Amino acid sequence: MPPKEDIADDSRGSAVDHFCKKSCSGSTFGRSDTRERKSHHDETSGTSIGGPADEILLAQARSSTDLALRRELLNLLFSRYHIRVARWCFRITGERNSAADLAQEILIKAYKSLDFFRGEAKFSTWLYSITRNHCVNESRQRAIRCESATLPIDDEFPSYPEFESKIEREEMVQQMRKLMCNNLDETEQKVMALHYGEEMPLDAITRLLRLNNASGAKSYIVSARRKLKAALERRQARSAAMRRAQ
Amino acid sequence: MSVMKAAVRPMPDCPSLEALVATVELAVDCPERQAVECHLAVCVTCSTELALLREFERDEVLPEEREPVAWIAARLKPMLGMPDAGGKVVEITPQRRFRSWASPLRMSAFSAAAVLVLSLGLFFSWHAQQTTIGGNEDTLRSAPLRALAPTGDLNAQPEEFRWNAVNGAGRYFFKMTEVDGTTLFETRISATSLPLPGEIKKLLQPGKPLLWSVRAEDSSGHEISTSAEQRFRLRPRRPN
Repeated sequence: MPPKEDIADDSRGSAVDHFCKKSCSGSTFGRSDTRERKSHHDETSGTSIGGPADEILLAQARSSTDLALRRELLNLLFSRYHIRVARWCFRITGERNSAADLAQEILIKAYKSLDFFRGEAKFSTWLYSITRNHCVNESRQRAIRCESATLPIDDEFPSYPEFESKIEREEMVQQMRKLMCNNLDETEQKVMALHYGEEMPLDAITRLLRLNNASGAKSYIVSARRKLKAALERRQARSAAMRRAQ
Repeated sequence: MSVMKAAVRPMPDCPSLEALVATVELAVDCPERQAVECHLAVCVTCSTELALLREFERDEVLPEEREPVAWIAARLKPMLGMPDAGGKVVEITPQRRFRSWASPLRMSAFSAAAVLVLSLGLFFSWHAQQTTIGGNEDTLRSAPLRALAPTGDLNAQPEEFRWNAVNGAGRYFFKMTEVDGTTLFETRISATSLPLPGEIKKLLQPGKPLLWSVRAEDSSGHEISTSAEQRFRLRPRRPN
């Protein structure tokens, strides 16, 4: 963990403290309670044990007519998550300068999009969605710039034109989903979903999923494809045997 | 498209991430929660999505990440009204972001590139003067052509495709492809926008990414400029 004192938000202005004292029914957000607040608010997990919940903080910011207070409340809200956004961006890019720029873009984007947060989900889920989408787009752009391609799969698995009807295609897709769930381990499933579903480059997946093996995500792709091919062949052999028996 | 690629894309019955989380976190073992758990057991996309969210929420920075993450977090502090290393609270401005971008190494590289570009510019300027004295052939400069919209994830079908005008362009060659490069639609048009063609409307399926680009041509059909490829898709439908 980064040193706690390095990321503690002990600079919060008195306006926020006063507002929280008034409206959070005795929360420990008073300025004089800075040290206590540090121990109560877990910045890296985003849970605010001693302070108001994210959604309450956001509601307070929205209802505030004082622009300075509103900004402080929102800053407090986002400061609960900046470490996690930073960590996520670093895992996607693998490089601190790009990750810092990416994290800034995400926080600014989230800040500007707050009006679209309707409170149907937790704030952390909403912020995660923005972080995830922004990082996926960034990693795709990087992949295009670096001309890195996805590993080919069409040579081993059937593609759509081989199926005549839409129903037949859909059935094959459903069967492939079942094969993936039944034959692949959790990491292989994640790697396949990120690489082929999100078109995320292998190096980014390796960092994101913290894969420590020598060839990272690539070996999981190879292993998953081998398992799926074998499972597909077994299934086809069973179908052929059943047809012969009939 | 490969069947395997289709198998890892969101299904029409995939719940939204918000609905997924809300249902999974229900304390009661209700039918809704059971239905979502059944779905998670057969949907690689949703189970991955949920696992990544949990990873995001997890309070853990690996030892090898500590130093870079603390460094990035320090860069983010000023925009959150927190003091930076010098104890100052400074709002992020474009100028400040530029400073953070402008590391000594980058600035050196930038300076070297600027000198090189200037030298080349002077050389070609001199060369052009030498070769076109007395000549009267027209010179067309390539102008940047940008594909403006649609890009990224869309909530609804786009009305049209738009790009900027380029000087000297007689018409524009529009092309749309699958992500694997398969051409889906192409046409030439003199305007700087193209209403969404019927052929494309049929192809727009939620979650399916498509690429498009445009090329400006002069009246003789010679290329003036080509835009970068833009990617867009309809946001996957995830009914609750």
